[in-house]
Amino acid sequence: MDERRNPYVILGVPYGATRGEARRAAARRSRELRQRQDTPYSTEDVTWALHQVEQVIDDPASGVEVFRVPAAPGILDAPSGHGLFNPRAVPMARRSGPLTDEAFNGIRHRAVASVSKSVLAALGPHVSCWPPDQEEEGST
Amino acid sequence: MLAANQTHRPGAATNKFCWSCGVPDPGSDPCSACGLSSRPRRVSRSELIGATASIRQRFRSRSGLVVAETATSALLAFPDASVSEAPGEKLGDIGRAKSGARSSAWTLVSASRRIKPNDRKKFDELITSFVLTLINRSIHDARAFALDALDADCPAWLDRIKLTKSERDFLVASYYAARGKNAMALERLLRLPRDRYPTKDLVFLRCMGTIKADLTKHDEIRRQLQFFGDRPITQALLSTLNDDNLDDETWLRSAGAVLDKVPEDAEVTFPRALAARFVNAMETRSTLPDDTWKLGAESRLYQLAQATRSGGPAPQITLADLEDAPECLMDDAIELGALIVSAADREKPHAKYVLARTDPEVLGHDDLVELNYQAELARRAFLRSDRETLASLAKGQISDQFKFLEALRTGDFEGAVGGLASFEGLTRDKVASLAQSLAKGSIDHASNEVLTDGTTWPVLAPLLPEDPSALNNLSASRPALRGIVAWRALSGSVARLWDWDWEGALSEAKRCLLVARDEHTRDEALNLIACAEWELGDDADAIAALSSALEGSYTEGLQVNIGVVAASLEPQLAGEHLGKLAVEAPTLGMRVAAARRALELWYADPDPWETQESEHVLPTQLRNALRTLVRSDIDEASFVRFTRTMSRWDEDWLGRPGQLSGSRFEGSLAAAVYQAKARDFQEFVKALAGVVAREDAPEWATDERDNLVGSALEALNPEEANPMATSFGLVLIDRGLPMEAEAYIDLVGFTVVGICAEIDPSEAEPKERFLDLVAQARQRIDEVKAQERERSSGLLDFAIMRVARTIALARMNQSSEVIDLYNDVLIRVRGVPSHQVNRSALRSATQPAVDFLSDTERILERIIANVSDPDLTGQLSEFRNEIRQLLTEFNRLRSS
Repeated sequence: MDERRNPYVILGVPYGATRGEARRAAARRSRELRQRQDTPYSTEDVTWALHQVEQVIDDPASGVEVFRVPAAPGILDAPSGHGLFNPRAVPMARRSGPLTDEAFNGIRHRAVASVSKSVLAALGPHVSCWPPDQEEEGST
Repeated sequence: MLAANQTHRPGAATNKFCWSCGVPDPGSDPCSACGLSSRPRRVSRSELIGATASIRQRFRSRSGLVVAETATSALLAFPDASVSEAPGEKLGDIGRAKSGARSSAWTLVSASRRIKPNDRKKFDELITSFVLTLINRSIHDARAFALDALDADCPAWLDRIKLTKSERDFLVASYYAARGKNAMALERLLRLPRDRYPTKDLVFLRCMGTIKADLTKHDEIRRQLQFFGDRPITQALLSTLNDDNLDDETWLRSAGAVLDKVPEDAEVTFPRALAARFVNAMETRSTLPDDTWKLGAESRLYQLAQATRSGGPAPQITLADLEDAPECLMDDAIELGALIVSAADREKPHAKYVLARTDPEVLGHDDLVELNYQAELARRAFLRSDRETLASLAKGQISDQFKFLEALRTGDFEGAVGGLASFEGLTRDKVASLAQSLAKGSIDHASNEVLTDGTTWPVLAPLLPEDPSALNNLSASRPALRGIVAWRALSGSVARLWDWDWEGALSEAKRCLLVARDEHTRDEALNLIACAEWELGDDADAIAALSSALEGSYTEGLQVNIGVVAASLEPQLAGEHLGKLAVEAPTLGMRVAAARRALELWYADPDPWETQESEHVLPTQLRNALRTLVRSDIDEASFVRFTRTMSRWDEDWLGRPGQLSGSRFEGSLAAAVYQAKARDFQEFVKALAGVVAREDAPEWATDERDNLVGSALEALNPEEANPMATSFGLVLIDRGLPMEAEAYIDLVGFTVVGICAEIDPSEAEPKERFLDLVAQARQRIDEVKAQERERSSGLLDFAIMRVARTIALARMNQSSEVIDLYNDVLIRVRGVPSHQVNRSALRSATQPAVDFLSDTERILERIIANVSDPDLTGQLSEFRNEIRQLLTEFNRLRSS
C-alpha cells in the first residue's frame, strides 16, 4: 500500500465502514471529482481506495498498515447513553387493583388445604396405630 | 354418600372407647354397654412361671420349665412332655425367665421356645394347655397376652384367646396396618361394628394407599367412618374419598393430628417440621415460617400474598404457580421482584405482560401491539424517527410526549413548547430549556442539565458560536459546555478531513484539544492532528501527536496508526508499538499482522534496535510476541516466517525441546527444519534436504534451499581461499541437499576449486573423493539447460584440472622422498651378495614406498582419463611413466 494514500480519507468514510457505505462513498466522490478542481486525488485514487477498503473488509488483519480515522470506534457519534432523545423504556403500568380480602382468604384456604392434604398423603402411612392407645399407665 | 360435615355423633370426637365392644366413651370400667372390661389393665406376673428349674428324682436331677405354681409348690414340664410337681423349696438351679412380656402366659410361651423337647408337638400342646389356663384367668390376662402375641408377630394365638370378636378384629387390624399389611388390615377393619372403635380412623389412614387403589371398598369405608364425622382425621379421610372440601380449621386440625401421631424416628422425606410450623402459624395466625414456599405452589402464593399485605420475605414465583391465581397477585409479585420470566416461559400466558412490566425492551413489535403498549410503541417509533407511526398512535400522555420530542429534535421548537404540559419534572425543564434555546437561536439559554445530556448535542451543536475565541470564552465560563464543544470540534475536524482540507482538520482538532477533558476525546483529537500532519508531510509532528495520545490508556487503533506514520522516519518507534500490538491486539489476525509488519520494519532498518552495540538483536517485545504467536493458531506462512526469524535471532529459545508444544505446527516439517536450524547447521541442512526431497516439497523449503545455495555460491571465490565458504558448500553437498543440476555443478565445482586453493601440496593433498564429486556432478551435465551446458562443463573441467594439479604436485613432493629411499637402499645393498641380503627386511622397508607408487600410478591413470587439457595430460602422463619406472626399479630391488 502507498505510504501516504489513506483509502478511508480518500473515500471520506470512517475506518470500519461497510462495503455498501464504501461503495456509495466512492460513487459520491467520483461525482464530486467531476465538478471539483485542484483536488489531491483523482478518480483512479478513488478506485484504488475502494479496492483497498474492500480488501480490509475481507482480511481485517491487512488493516495493520492503514491509518485509522477514528482510532476509537464510535468516538465520533454523539454519546449513546440515555437522555432526552434516547429515553429508557418505561415499564408498563399495573393493570389490576389491590388484592381483596376475599381473594386473600381464597389463597389462604387453598394453601391450608394443599398443605394438609400433603401431610395426610405423606405422613398418613406412618401414623402410629400399634399398640392402640389407652394402655394403662405402667404397662409395657 | 355422607360427607364428613354431614355427620354428627355426640362424643364421637373422643379417643376413648371400650376395647371389648368398641363403644365410644364407655364411662367407668366395666363398660356400661357390654359389661366387660373396657380397657387393658396391668396384670400381675409370676416370678416363677417360665423359669427353668431342676428337681431330684430317683437319684437324678431333672430340669424342666415351671408351667404353674401354687403358694408352696411348682409344676414343672420336662422335655419328654411329662410334668411333675415339686415343693418350692426343692427347686434347684432356678433360671429366671426373661422379662419384657406383659403376661406370665407369654413369658411361658417364650421360655418354651428355648427348650429342646423330645417331641416338639407334644411338648407345645402341653405348654399350650397351661398357657390357656393362665390367660383364661381373666380378660386382662387374655388382653395382655394378645398384645404380647401380636408384638411377637404371632397373630394366630388370638383365635384361642377369650376376647370379643370385635376386639380381636380391632387389635389384629391395628397390628396388620402397623406391619404394612394393609389389605389384611382393611379386611378386619370392615368387620368392625360401624359405630364402634372411633380410633379406627388412624388405622384407615395408615391404609390410605390401598384404599385409594380399590374403589370397591370406598362405600363400606365411608359407612365405617360416618359415625365419627367430628374427628378431624375422619373428616379428612371422608373428604379424600368424596373429593370435597373442608374448612380451614378442620384441615388444620387433621394435619395437626397426623403430625402428632407420626413417630419422631419415622423415615419420611416430607418436611414435617416445616409443615408443623406452618400448621401452627396458620392456627395461631402468627408469622409464617420463612421457608413456607417449600411446601408447594399454593403455599408460595399464600406467602407472597402475605408479603404483599404485611411485609416479610416474598418467595420466587413462576408463571406456572400463578396460573389460577388472581391477576393482582401477579402484579404484586412483579412489584416485589418475585416473578421472573425465563426464556423457556416466553410463550406462556401472561409472559408478555410480565415482560412489559419488567423488561419491555425484549418484546417484539407484535408483542407490543398485542398488549396495546402504546408508550413503548411510541418510544421505539421516536428512536427510529418514524413520524408516521408516531402520528398514528392513539392520543395519550406518553405518545404525546414523543410526538413533541420528535418535533423538538427536528428544530420545531414551537410544536415542542406547545406540548410542555405533557411533560413533568426534570424532563419538562429540559424540554423547556431546549425549546427556548432553539427559539432564541442561542446556546446561552440551555441549562446545564441539557448541556450534559449527550443526546441533545446534535440538536444544540448548530447553536454554538463559530468564532473560536467566543467559543473558548463560553466554554471557560460554562464548564458544562465542554463536552458538546469538544464533540462538535471533533466532528468538524473529521468533516474537513473527508473534504481533504488538512489545515482545516488540524485547526478543528486543536480546538477540540482546548476544551476536551476526557482522555478518549483528547486522544482522538490528537489522532486527527496526526492524520492531518501526516497528509501535510509533517511526519515528526504526526508522530509526536500520536505518541502523546498513546500516553495513559489507548486503543489498538492508535498503535496501528503510529506503526503507519513512524515506519519511515522512526521505524524503531513504529516497531515498538507494533510489537505491543502484536501482544495486545484483541484478535489473533491483528497480532500476527502487527508482528509481520514489525519484522518488516526491523529487517529493513540498517540501524540496530534496542542495543548500543553494532549488532542487530531481535527487540524484546517483538521476540516475546513471536514466542507466543508460534504457539497460537496462526497460519502456516506466518509460522514459517516467525520460526525462520527465531532460528536466527532467538535460536537458544527455539532450539530447546518442547518450545513449540501446543502449536498446531508442532511436529510439522517447518518446525523440524527451523528448530534444527536453531540448534546446529548440519542438522538443519539434513532436515531441509529431507523436506526438499519430497515430491510435495513446500515452497518455503525450496526457498530456503535456494537461499542457502545462493549464499554458498556467493561466498565461494575461486581466487580466494575461504575455508568457511568451502566448508559451507561441502555441508550442502555431503548432506545431499537436492538442487537443480546447474546449481549443483556450480556448487561442486567452486567448492572443489576452493578446497584445492586452501591446500599446500607440500604438506597435504586433496582427497580422492573430490574426484568422485566432480564425476558425480558431471553425470548431471545433461540436466543443465543447453545454453549453460558448456559453462557448466567448463567449470567441471577446471575443477578437475585443479584437483589433478594439486594431487599431482602433492604426489611429486612425496615421490622425491621415495626416490631418496630408493637410492639409499640401493647403496646399502649394492655389493652385498644376494644371499646375504635380508629380503624380508628389504621388502618390509620398501613396502610403503611401493604402495605409494602403486596408488600414485592408479590415481594418475584416473586423473589422466578425466583431464581434457592436452598439456596437462602430457605432464601427468610423463609423471606417471616416471612413477612406473620407479616402481619397476623398486620391484627389481626387492626381488633380486
